[in-house]
Amino acid sequence: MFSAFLLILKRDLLLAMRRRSEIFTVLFFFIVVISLFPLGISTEDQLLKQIAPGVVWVAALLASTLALDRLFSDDYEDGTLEQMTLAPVSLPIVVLAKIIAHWLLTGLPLVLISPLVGLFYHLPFESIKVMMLVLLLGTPVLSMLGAIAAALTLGLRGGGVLVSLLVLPLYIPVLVYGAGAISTSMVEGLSIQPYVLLLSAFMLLAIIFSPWATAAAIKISIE
Amino acid sequence: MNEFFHMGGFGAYIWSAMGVAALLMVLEPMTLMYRRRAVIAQIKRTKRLEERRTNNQKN
Amino acid sequence: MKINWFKYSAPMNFYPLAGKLIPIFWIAAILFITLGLYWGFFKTADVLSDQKQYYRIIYVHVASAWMAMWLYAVMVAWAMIGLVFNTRLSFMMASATAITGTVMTVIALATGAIWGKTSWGTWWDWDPKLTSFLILLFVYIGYIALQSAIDDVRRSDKASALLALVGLALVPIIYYAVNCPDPNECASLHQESSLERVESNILIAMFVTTFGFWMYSFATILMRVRIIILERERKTSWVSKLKEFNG
Repeated sequence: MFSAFLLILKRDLLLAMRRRSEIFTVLFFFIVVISLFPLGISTEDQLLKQIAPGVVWVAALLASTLALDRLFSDDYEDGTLEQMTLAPVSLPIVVLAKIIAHWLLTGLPLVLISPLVGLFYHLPFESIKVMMLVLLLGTPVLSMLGAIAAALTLGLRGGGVLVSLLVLPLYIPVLVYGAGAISTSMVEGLSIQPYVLLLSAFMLLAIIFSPWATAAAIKISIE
Repeated sequence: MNEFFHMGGFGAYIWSAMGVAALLMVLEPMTLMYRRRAVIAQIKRTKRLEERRTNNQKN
Repeated sequence: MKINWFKYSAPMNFYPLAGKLIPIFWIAAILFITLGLYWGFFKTADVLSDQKQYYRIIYVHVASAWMAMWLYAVMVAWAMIGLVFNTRLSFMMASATAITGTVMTVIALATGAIWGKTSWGTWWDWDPKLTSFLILLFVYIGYIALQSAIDDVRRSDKASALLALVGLALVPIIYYAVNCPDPNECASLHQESSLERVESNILIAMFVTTFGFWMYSFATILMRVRIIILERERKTSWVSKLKEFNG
């Protein structure tokens, strides 16, 4: 079972590496959205620090919803996904591998580029560390929840917009606590531990339940 | 300012709240009635078409 | 008397039953809403002085808010029954419930905004209750959007049912996040809804109006389900034998 997991993971990563431009599209979308806010609101130091947590998270939510479209659609169109549902490996394992591959390609780059945002928004070093930590904990949840919606909308016209409509309201807890942690890190004497614990709990719950729900959704969409 | 607004000015608020609720709760069944009529008309039409087709085949 | 409930899980048998029930629910709805509002407007004069006149908004506001939440639960229940027993009618009930639920949410938000203007001096406040209802509206709309985006009836039924289930699983977490954005102190700035503190005449009016709204929901949901049945079963012989099409 584990070997099947690794196999799918490796395959998805390999496929994505052949078309690297897609990874960069998501990444640059993130950066562009983030650099629009100071131009639209104000370039004043204090204000930028204040809005940075929310802006980073909203940009991350949008970037990850945009990327969701690619999660299953290629495999769905060429019939690979159907093969996977018929294979003797349990579908949730396959789905988990695909989601993790997807996160490595679209979520992890956001985490790694986020210090740049810190520079853009004059964040203190401490907050940049917190931001990377909460993005590391939160973006997998986004991929996991998004996978369910992506599976439900397989092959539909205008699927991309529909996915964002379905999934953005469900992202709210991650947004609230993810942004809250970064804001709190800028206040002296407040602990960010509760935020980190809550986000970790979300991630564990998502890892346990999302592959099952996604597998069920794939079966509904394919049958 | 607030004081001024609150003096007897509640009527507008109360009635607009009631109005919004009443409007939506009248519109909803009305659209349903309209939709039902449309569906029935459509089914009637296809039924008539089919009957005509079977009659033509008989002749 | 023994009623065979399974008989009514077939659209063919449910359609005429719903047709008979709709007028009853309409009469009940009009009766109870009128009664509730009459009580609220004319039996509370001594409690609601000029300063507190705006309380009268609450009858409609609370009734629609309760129904909006309750209908979501009803919708998920029908979706779950549909997924477990694979009955067509349950899915139809779920999708019929969604739209009335959306209407109730909109009424709750609109009257809530008007209420907010009178009592807090602002149309909108990002307080937990209003935010929760806004999210409830988004969830309803997502459900309806997904359902209408899928042409295949079987897939659209099941997919939206699954979405409703996922939504239900996440609702407590979203509710918690909205209520307690800062886990370090977790003080909700919101007034708790405390039914005990409310004067009994207002409470009576509120409950009676809510009951009327409930009857209204029954009536509209049954009307909508009948339309959905006709749309989906138009090819069957029992539909073409209905008196709607013969006479």
